[in-house]
Amino acid sequence: MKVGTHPGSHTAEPLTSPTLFFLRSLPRGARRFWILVLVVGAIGGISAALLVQLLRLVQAVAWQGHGESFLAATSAATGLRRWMVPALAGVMVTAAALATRRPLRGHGTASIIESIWIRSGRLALPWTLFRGVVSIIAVGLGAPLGREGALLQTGAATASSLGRWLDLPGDKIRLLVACGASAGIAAAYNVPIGGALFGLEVLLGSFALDLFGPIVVACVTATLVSRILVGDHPSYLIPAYQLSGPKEMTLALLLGPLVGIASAVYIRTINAFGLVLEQGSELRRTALPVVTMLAIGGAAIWFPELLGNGYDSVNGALLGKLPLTLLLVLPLMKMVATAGASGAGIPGGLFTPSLFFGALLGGAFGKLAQHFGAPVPPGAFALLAMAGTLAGTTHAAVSAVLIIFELTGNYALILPLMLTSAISAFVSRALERESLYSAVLQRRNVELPEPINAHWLHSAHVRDLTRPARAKTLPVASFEEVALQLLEAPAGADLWVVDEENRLLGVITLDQLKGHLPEHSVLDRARASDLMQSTPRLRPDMSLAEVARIFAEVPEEELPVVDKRGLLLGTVNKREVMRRGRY
Amino acid sequence: MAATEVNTSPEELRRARRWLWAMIAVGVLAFALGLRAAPPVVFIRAEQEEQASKAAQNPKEEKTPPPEEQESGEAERPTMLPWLYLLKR
Repeated sequence: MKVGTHPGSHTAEPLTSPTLFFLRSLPRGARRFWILVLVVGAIGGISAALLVQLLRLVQAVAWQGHGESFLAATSAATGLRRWMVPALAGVMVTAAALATRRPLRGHGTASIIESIWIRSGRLALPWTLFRGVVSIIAVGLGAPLGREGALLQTGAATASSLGRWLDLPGDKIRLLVACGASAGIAAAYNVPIGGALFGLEVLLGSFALDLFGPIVVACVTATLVSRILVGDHPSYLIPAYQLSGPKEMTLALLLGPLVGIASAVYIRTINAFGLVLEQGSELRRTALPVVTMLAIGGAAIWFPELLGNGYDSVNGALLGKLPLTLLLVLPLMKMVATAGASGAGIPGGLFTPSLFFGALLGGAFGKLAQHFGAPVPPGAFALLAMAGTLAGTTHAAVSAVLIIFELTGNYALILPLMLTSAISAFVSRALERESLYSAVLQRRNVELPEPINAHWLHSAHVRDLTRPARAKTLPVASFEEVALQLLEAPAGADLWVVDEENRLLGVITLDQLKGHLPEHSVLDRARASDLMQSTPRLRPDMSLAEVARIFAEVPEEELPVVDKRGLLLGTVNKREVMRRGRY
Repeated sequence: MAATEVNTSPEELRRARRWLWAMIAVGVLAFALGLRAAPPVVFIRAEQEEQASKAAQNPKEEKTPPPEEQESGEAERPTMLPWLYLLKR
């Protein structure tokens, strides 16, 4: 399509599309980055389609279901098959871990966050692809985990490899990794807006405009490619529910805190299993995938709903078809099964199982409300609870609302959806400080930097960054003592002159001391009080925004923190302030 | 396989262990309640097979309509406990 010409081109060369026009108008480095964003989005869509086909193939072979739903196929299988096929998933994971001498555990999102924030976007492509394939096969064989883990990681690892191969700067590689992971989730659920918001809110922790553009482009590209290859159909079968009356809104208001509590329980359970099952002897850790999948397979003889990612049961809850008993017992069993499988080292996503947990609990809430006389569709509450659980477990209410809104395409539910999600995220965060993803990082001693934004700069205080003063001296110290102390102090440390009550009097720096050397005839009589200088002082309750302003005006690398009486409490380093504001 | 480096105090580990066992107990209880309240698919399927074989042996006998699709969960499930069902078989 001929749409125009490049404004800077003297030859008035025709352009074929607005995209080309946009790309040509960019500087070379930016152009290369945007082309990569498109490529990463397309690869995300293609790999999502391939992995979904692999999952269907494994399900068809393992469960001999042709064209039926996964639950219908597992329900039709013999009890022995329902027990042994999941056990096979455990054997496969153990064999893969033994062969590679690396555990395959983890749901992927946490390692993507770690890669973006700590490892400059580094993710090993061959290992991630291998792990993704193992994860998809395990889910196909019945592991109670989600397929999205593999899709997210594949997109992210491809982006990381491309970025490093083309020698992009570190911040661009990190953004590209987030683009790849978001593209994976957009393609997995056919939710381009929700995928983009997930990338911004969960992976990058910011809605900054310069991050928004690339992520949206990658998600849209991935979704388009996936729709061409797999087809454009909703992930869940959701009738056009309407909840707008005061009674329904009151019920949504009640559902929010309940789902928030349930989300906190879910996070704690997943973490407890992960923590405990990671311990123990090598033999125990090696055998755990097999033992756990044998137990899950055993339970699935009676409850095949426990196997796989649980799409069909969620659909049942959304259509209001499941009986109350199953709506009450299945989420509890599924939560334990998912936590067991994940903790035992089966790789797979926790996103879809959390939707299962929420949908069935919400369905139970709806049925109970119906039982007590409220004329409401239980399926609508299953939907609200899905969004609430997503918001509660990820602590990301905006993307949760958008993902579920896109899954339904129903604007009539947006108000109760927002209400339930916001309350659930608030309650869950109050009960469990860490989200499903950040808890894993916290357990592994990975400290994420605080995101930089005006709110954070104003809400963080000097006391948060105060470190003990590294070198102190009294005002009566001789020049020789001062020089010795400064030379022995760690690199970059200044010498703080304090009185006997630890009241700050001044500072002596090495550069300042050098300035006194020409006066060598009087130096043997000089005392610290003669050599020291005054310095700006910080108070513990000052905000980091104020500190940043002071550092911008003075040459000092370190400033003292004093209390109201002038007592030295410690120091704040300029580098530390800068480090906290990274990205 | 190398163990993953974790940052956990013994107290945290004890708490996690207690929570794990509590949740396993909850899962087992849910399983038992589920069995008691709605005997599971496997027994329905076994009954169906039994009825089908009876029908095959005696084709003149009127066929019992099969229960609704199981995934809907609305199908009528036998009230018999699983172990009793197995004993009876």
